[in-house]
Amino acid sequence: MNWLLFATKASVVILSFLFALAFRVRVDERHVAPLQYITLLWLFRDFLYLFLPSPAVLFVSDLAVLTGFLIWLRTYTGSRATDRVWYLVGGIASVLAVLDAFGLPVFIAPARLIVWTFAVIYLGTAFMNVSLYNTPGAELVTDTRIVLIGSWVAVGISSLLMGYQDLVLLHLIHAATYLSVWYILLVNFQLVHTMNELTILNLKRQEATLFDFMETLGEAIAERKPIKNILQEVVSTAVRSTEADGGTIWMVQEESGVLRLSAMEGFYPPPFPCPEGTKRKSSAVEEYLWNVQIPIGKTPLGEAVSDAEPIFVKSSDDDERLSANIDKDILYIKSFIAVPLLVEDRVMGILSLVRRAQEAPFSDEDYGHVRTFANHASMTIDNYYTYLEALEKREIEREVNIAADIQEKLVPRSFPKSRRMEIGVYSNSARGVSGDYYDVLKLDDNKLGIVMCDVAGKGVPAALVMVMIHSILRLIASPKRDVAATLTWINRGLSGQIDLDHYATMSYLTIDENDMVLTYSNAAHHPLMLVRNGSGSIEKVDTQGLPVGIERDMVYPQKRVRIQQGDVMVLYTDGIIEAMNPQGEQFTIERLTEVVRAHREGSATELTKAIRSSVEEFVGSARQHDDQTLLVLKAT
Amino acid sequence: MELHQRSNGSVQIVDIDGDLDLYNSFKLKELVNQLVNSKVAGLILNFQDVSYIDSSGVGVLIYTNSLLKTNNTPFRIIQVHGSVRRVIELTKLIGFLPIVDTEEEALKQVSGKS
Repeated sequence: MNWLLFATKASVVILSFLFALAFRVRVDERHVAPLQYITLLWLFRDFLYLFLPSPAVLFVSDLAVLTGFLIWLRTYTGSRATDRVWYLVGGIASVLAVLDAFGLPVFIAPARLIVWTFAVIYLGTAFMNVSLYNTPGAELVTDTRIVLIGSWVAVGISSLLMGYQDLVLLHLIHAATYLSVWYILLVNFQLVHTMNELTILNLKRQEATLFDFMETLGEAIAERKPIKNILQEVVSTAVRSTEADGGTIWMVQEESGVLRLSAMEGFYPPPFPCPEGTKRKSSAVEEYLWNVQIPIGKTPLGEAVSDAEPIFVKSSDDDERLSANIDKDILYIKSFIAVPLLVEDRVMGILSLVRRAQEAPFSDEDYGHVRTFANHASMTIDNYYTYLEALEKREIEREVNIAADIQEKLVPRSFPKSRRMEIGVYSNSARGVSGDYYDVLKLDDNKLGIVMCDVAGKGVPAALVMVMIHSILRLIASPKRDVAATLTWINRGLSGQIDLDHYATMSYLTIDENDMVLTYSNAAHHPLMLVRNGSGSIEKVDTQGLPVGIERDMVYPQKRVRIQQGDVMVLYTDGIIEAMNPQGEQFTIERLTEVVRAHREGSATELTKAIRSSVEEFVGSARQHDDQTLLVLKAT
Repeated sequence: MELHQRSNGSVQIVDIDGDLDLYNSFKLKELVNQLVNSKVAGLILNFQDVSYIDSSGVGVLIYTNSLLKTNNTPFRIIQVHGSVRRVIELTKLIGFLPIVDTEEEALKQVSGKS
């Protein structure tokens, strides 16, 4: 051994050391440090060997280097109890080798070989046991272990063949093994590069998925597809982009607060025990899934909802949450993801994916991808709900407007002339819920027919009811047919023809100007208010009966009242007495009575004006939601 | 308005929470249709938390009543109070609609029939 040879070897080692320093890319400190110590160890032992050329130096230092590699491995796998055997055997062998070097012939070449064989087998097994599934991030180990183990075997065999202090072994083979650290670091560099490319590819894939998804959803929304189709689109995109075997979306049911299956793609074994009978056939499992209700907080899916936290089980082997899915049968799940669909802090539902192949669990990238995707999907679903609601509201309002137009066309523009009756009308349409309708008919020269009506329900159907009442009334009203019969006929005409949630309250009355007899019949409308001239006493004229349009066989009674000159009769709808002021108080029948009593001396038109201004003054700036209609008759 | 469903034996009880008006009474109608389709054995509508009803809401009650009658399914309305009761009284529907005071009473009548 001379200085020149040492310098050559030393330069390889020093460069390895520097190389290790420079290549701390991706690999963190704790993974690089053992490699650096190994290079320093080599440097030290070659230096020592210059002055103490004993095989013991070489042998002990080689054991130390192997220990270095073992420590390096353990930075990935965590420490293992069995390593104590290694330390014990290595320690004893080192002591014996040193004793040997000082002249005690206890540790000769065959013994070294046995120890070395043990070493290579022990470390080799430890290195070969590592896989990406049990040790994530250990690509560097799996990619370099063959070369490493090969170099140890080479050292063992060559020292057996050539003797431990052969020059070729010392200066060529040893030096070559020094390059193993270079090799590890180069592989590391390449790995980092591949990882980066994978990440870029993954991001691109994510971007493409999201873009496709948004585009499909945009179309679905534009076509106003039902929410079910949207959810189906979400789950199939998720399954496709993660190459999952199956996926489901479960939505929280607002009324009952349980989870129910809303969309499914591929085959998805439930992550909870399912009845014996369903276990055999995949179609039975699917049937079961469509019917099962999951309480929130129960099963992995329910837990993810109640905690509003995603769940990722990479491998069911070592996770008790999937204890129902570990038998290698139809229900087997290898890898499981469940991500809540969140809007603000509210969980709308959950997206869950499974992979079933033993050797292909989801990666962390897949999991990240699903989480990003679920975020976008929840936002979209929420927007879609909001959009549907707005659309629904707009539709209702549009219908209400159409109905209001119909209503406007139906009410009379002018009233028939009458010898003995004055008529005053005030009507204010609120474009809201109910359709007020009134009409004044001249039945013959001496008879007036008057109807006041409030149709329930909304939109065009309600307006149609109004049209029907108008038509039937015009068709059958005659001076010969009495009031009750007319109302009974209208009811019969409407019942069964209209949806039952549309009905109308209505009053119908006739006034015979010859004998001044008023005949009145009422289908659950507000009673007629009759204010007597002179005394100013107020009578409520009413008869029994349900609103029209509900019970076909209803027969309405009628009432006859003789009226005198100066008597005032008032018909009105809900909108008048329920007119609301900004404080939320209603106008009430009492206030109406008050105003009528105070102004009964005036003409019908004056009285109408008085009531109108009183109502308007009362409500002030408050917006009214109901039609207001008032009809005043005065006998002259 | 929110509809909360629960069951007592085979009887479905729907607790209505909020106003029953033009803009949401159709939700109740949809739920009733759904329940009738799934062959519910009895239905109780709880109005305890309803403080406002308009004519479209009353319309849905009439609809429900007649639909369940056609299907021979017992139906009761409970806890009707305040302005809701007044509106139903005004339209003279108090006797027409099966209104009882308490859930207990309603359950007794509904289960007795089914």
